[in-house]
Amino acid sequence: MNLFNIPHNELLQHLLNGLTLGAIYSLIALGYTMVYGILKFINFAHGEILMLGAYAGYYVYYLICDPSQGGSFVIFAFIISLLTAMVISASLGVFIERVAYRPLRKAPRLAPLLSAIGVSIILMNLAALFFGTKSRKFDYPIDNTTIQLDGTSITPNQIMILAVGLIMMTALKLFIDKSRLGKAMRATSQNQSVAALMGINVNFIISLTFAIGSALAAVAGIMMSLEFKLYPTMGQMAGLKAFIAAVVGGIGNISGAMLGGILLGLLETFGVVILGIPQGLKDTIAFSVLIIILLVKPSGLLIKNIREKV
Amino acid sequence: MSNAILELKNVHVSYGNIEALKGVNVTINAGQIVCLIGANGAGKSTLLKSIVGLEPLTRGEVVFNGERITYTGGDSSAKKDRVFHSTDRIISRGISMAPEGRGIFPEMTVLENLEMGAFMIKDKALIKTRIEEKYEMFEILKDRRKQLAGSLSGGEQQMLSIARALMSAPRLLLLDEPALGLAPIIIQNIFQTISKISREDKVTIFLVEQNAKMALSISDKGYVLETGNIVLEDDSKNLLENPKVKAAYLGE
Ligand SMILES: Nc1ncnc2c1ncn2[C@@H]1O[C@H](COP(=O)(O)OP(=O)(O)OP(=O)(O)O)[C@@H](O)[C@H]1O
Ligand SMILES: [Mg+2]
Repeated sequence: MNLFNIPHNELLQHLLNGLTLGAIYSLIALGYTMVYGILKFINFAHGEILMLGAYAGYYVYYLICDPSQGGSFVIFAFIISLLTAMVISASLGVFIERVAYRPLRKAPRLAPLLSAIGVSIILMNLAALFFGTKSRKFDYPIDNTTIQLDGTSITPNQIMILAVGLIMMTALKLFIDKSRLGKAMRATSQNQSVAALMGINVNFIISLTFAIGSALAAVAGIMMSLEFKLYPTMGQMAGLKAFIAAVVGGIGNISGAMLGGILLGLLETFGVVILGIPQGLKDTIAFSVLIIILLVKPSGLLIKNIREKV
Repeated sequence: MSNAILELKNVHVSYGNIEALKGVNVTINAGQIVCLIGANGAGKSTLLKSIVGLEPLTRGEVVFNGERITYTGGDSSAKKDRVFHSTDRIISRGISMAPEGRGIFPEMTVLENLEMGAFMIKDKALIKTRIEEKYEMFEILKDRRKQLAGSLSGGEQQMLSIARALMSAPRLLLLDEPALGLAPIIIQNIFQTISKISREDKVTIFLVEQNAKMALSISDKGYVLETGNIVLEDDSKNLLENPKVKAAYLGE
């Protein structure tokens, strides 16, 4: 027994469920935070990039394999569809920035924001038109029978989500901290015109940022489709929550987005068990806690007091 | 043909309907230090920004090293004659700039700032050598290399800004008020370094300064800018003796 009066194995179970959900939120939140870091702009079409990535993966998956057959070819097909989805979402993100945001870069702040909301609604409606509004199930590429471990159950799908999330986030962090282009991204987010003075092609860096954020959204979209369902408005709530997670972590901060996402996943899961509130109120609890965090630390958990430029 | 490395011809820049540069002509010869002095708001920073493409010209031409890097076209000439390059393309031709207010990346370390100055260089060994050279030139930067640049003092940030601008081994270095807000002893230090860079590294320097006395004493040639117009242009030693300059800029 422990602090919450919950048996250890149950506690572990909730922790596991919360982390799985949190990993998905984190992957989405990264896209919001990276774009904000560079353009000081919230890409409200990010959720739809996620949704379209998920559909792209879905169609490729069922085109090349029959998941009910099982076996290694299905796993191979799944990996191919995941990669294709990433490429398609990345291209879509880059394209949207080119046509809907870049021409408005010097316009008042509200203009690109409205453009983003417009793009979001257009894409959602187009998806409903072409793919239908009924929700679909993305079949597991692997046998998803629950594994029992000392009173805690875990599904292979959960293991995969945690592993993929961990790999993606570690790779991203290394890329941004250590690589030449990653450093150029950080430089661009700190001062665009000085970055240009270093010989950095700022437009290329912005496109790269959209590409990476959108590719991560596609991964999140497929993970969501496996755990839950696939439907044209799936990006809405998930996008909104991930956006809030990014703000709580400190918008513009990469580690903050990861932390905020995980925190939100854990809050949603633990809110229900610790307080014993009905499942339907889990968002209420989670968001209340997030509001409290923002009241205490308005700039988000991981934002340092950045000194103004001289 | 002179050995001009940079020529500005009839350069106009506007902010909205306010014209900040009203037809500026500047010629900078290779190997020299040329300074530009002028009061607050005269358009000095705008002039430097127009060279590197950070402010678009409404009219005029910039020639670097014999190549038109910006050309708005005459009133009659065809659109196809126009030349416009983004800042990174202009920089890649061998120009470097330490902007007004230093413009260091505050959330990156001193070392990372220097690495950014070498962004266009692919050769890792060369980057390393250049960083070591800068550490020799500014020893304090070596001690601070792991520190976030935003936590440096003003003088240290200025040294970092200059060192970073030198990482690409430019042919032309543009400096926008490197002495701004620094203590006299540090200012001396910075100006000595600028002379040294010019002498030893054979870098042509275009220096914007409010500190007219210092700027004129280390430069070969000077320009005086007043509300968007060049009103004087002469050898620096003559400008130091010029009664108008003395009255307006040297406080004598
Ligand atoms: N981004 C801008 N938008 C509108 N007006 C501007 C902008 N930048 C500069 N100006 C105006 O253009 C004129 C020239 O400004 P600039 O910064 O080039 O002057 P400066 O000579 O560098 O002055 P200082 O010595 O104070 O740095 C000023 O009147 C200024 O108000
Ligand atoms: Mg200025």
